[in-house]
Amino acid sequence: MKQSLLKRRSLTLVILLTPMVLLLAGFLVLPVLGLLRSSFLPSTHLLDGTGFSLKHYVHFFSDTYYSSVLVETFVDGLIVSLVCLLIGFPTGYSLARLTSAARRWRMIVVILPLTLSLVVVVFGWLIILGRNGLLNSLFVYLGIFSSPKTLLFSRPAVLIVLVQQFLPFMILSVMSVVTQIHPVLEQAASNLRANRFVTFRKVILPLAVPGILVGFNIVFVLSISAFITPRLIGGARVAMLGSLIYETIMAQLNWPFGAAMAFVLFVSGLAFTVALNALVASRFTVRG
Amino acid sequence: MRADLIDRLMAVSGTLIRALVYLMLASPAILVVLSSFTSSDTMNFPPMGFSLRWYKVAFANELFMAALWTSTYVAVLVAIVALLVGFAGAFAMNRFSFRGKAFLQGLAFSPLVVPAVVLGIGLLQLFAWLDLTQTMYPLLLGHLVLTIPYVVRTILASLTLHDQQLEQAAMNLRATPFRVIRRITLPLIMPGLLSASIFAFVTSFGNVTVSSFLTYGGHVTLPVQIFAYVDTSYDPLVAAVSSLMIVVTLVVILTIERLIGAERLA
Amino acid sequence: MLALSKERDNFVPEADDLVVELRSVSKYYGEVAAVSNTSIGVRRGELLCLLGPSGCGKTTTLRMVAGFVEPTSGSITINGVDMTRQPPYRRDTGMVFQSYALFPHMTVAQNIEFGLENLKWPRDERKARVEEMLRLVELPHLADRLPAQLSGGQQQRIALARALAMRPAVLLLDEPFSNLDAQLRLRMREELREVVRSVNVTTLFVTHDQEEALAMSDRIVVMNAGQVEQIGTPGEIYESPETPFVAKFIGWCSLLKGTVGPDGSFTSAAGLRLDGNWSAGSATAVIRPEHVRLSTDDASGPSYQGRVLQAHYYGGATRIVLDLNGEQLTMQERFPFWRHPKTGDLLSVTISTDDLRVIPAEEDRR
Repeated sequence: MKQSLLKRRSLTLVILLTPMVLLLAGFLVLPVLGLLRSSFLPSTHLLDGTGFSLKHYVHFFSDTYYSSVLVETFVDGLIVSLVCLLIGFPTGYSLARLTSAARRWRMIVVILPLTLSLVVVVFGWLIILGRNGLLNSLFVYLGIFSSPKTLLFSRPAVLIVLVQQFLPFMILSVMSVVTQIHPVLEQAASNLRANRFVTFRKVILPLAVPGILVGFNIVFVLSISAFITPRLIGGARVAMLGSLIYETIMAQLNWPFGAAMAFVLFVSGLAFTVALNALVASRFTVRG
Repeated sequence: MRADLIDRLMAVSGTLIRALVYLMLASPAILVVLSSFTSSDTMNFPPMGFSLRWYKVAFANELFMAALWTSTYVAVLVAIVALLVGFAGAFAMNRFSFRGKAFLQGLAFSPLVVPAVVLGIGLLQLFAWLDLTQTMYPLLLGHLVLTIPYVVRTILASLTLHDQQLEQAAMNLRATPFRVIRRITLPLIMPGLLSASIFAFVTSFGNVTVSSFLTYGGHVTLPVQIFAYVDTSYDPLVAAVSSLMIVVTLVVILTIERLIGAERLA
Repeated sequence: MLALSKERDNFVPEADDLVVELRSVSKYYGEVAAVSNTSIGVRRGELLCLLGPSGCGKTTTLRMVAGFVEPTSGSITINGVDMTRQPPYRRDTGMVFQSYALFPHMTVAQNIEFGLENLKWPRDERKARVEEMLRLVELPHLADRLPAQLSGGQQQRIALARALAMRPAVLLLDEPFSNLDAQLRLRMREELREVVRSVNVTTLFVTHDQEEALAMSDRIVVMNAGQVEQIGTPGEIYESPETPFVAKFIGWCSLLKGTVGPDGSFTSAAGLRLDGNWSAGSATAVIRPEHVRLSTDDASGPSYQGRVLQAHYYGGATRIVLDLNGEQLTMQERFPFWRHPKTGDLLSVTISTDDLRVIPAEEDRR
């Protein structure tokens, strides 16, 4: 009786999990592994040929152009993540402390860019930054510019747009972690004569570290792998690794080299976030 | 004294930053909608005049309309399948304990952290090898993978918030497990299920980063069509099409907000 | 509420007619025993209460009867049929949950009807029973409301009606009053007892409130640390506790450790002597506040001088902690506020030993 009950239970479990496991194994794990394999192909065109070669990786790391793009992409990712943290924390914190009525429209404003297609958001920025766009019209009208200037096709423009795109992730993860921090802790801190800054630094910040870290990781990974925004906002002048990969695969059809670059991006981004998490964990983990 | 000053400074800068953030987050979408009603031939801001001419152009454009149809078709299918697959998986994770559960959860959320270029190229290569690039399967399966994290998370949250004592009460009232799920569990987590499904719809509907690799030979989705169009030209046609996408997305967000509340939108 | 048949007040359940029987039941969570080697029988028609502090295993025991927790060892029978490994939905029990667990998406009537549907009753019989149950709990006008539109007391009555609708062999109540405020709790307690009596259902009831247990039960099972301390009528539990734990847990008392001499008198460790006829050996005396009285001229027995350590005024009575030859005793006496004793005052008291319980050490299993 008990045996058969157990058997039926595990059968149910298998039936429930199989579709998801198959989907993730077949169309997430398998493609990533397949990509890893083709990055070692000696060919420089599509997927013809067999064999094993490190030449694409050697090419990537020996050509200073690629390594400088890699470094720049990482620096960009760091800048975007830090700016998101700086302006996303106060926003996420206040969202967590608002009444649900006041939170309602603010949440919708935060969620909209997240659910809206990326190209639409980028198109909105073209309207803001374009030669006949909002900012140029405004600055000319105010007399700050004498004639419209090129605001697009610059690194700062790309960074601003990336910040706007990924800011919701930071806001939401800060909000969700601050929601877990009971406001009574802040009252206790101020009752113990801590001012707002001390309360923030000694109470809120250490408790919010997990949420900050989650937000930081997501924003960082998304920023370094961005390719739509660098392409449309930055144009040919701003090279980021993501747009370089897109170019290599879709225009030059050099799949093995594109695959190798994608892997360098994936692994180095992963290594960076793991290292960052370890560093922060060692400093902020509450022992005992 | 100095401490008071810091407090004051924090309060003021906080208010300023928040105002800037909300302005920054809202303005692209608002500007797109405003620009779409222009009557001029080119994109300018502020827009000149008011007309619906670019909407007429958009609806007459076969490329965009075919892409809109493809996007809708794929998104609806993805929403249905993702709900079934995600509910089964989330239910198993919530109600069963098994070896490798933590690993599976990590795997289900990992599409969030795998760079879109990596997933996109990997899928493109896989489907090229399977000789399926001319079909809808690349889009369908690629989007399904992308929506799994959202669907699993939303349904898991619903199941966790759901009071399991109600199921025990039903069992005490002689309901068999199947009846418990049908009469108690499903009706009570229905808002969560609907939200998960709608979320899957909108994720699929708006995706461009992975889709742009999966429309290589066959069907093109609306965001990819916009991407390709904006890459070469810049006119109010895109503003009109984009406004359509904004309306769809906004309706979806408001629906989910009604269903499960703003707190759990994230 | 319903009119009661008077004779039920003197109801004595038959000892060998058991509706629910737990035989040497244990429940282990890993190494930890939530319930260990417990045997309890619920007699037909009685209201049996599981009483104990939180974590004593009483709720686990109840949930094992309902089938939500599977015992590690031992057996559970309901009406003589072994139910140990049966799922909850095959057991003839009706449970009222602590949080009531009313289905929020069903109306009051649908909630009550749910169990009858599962038993595949025909529609008109279901409707008739739902109406009958609503009349029983005197809420027929709420049939079409949703649970969220009911007050706490109403929700409780509906939960009771739902559990009773199928006429279960045993009604299970899990701390049913803990979500109600103090006044409502008192009223609901009386109502529930009346309803249970009127439908004559065997009831197993869990509470941590000793007053509730004493007022409602036919018999009480006192549990502590996963084991049964004592089973008995409220009178037996209160008047002759078998262990110091039971004495301490039921009502207010002072426990004095000491020895009973060959003459049958008790001498505490600090030297307080009580005359009596107890059996010799080391023992614990249970002294309740009502045993300690202010001395009067015609009092029999020895008088003791006690120094007031604390005095708390409760209006109708004052609770005084006295130091008597180095032992601390609590007494309760009515003092007008202006003659209220103060710390350090000396009071002359007698200790009534007639119904005073002295527990021999060998009976003290812990």
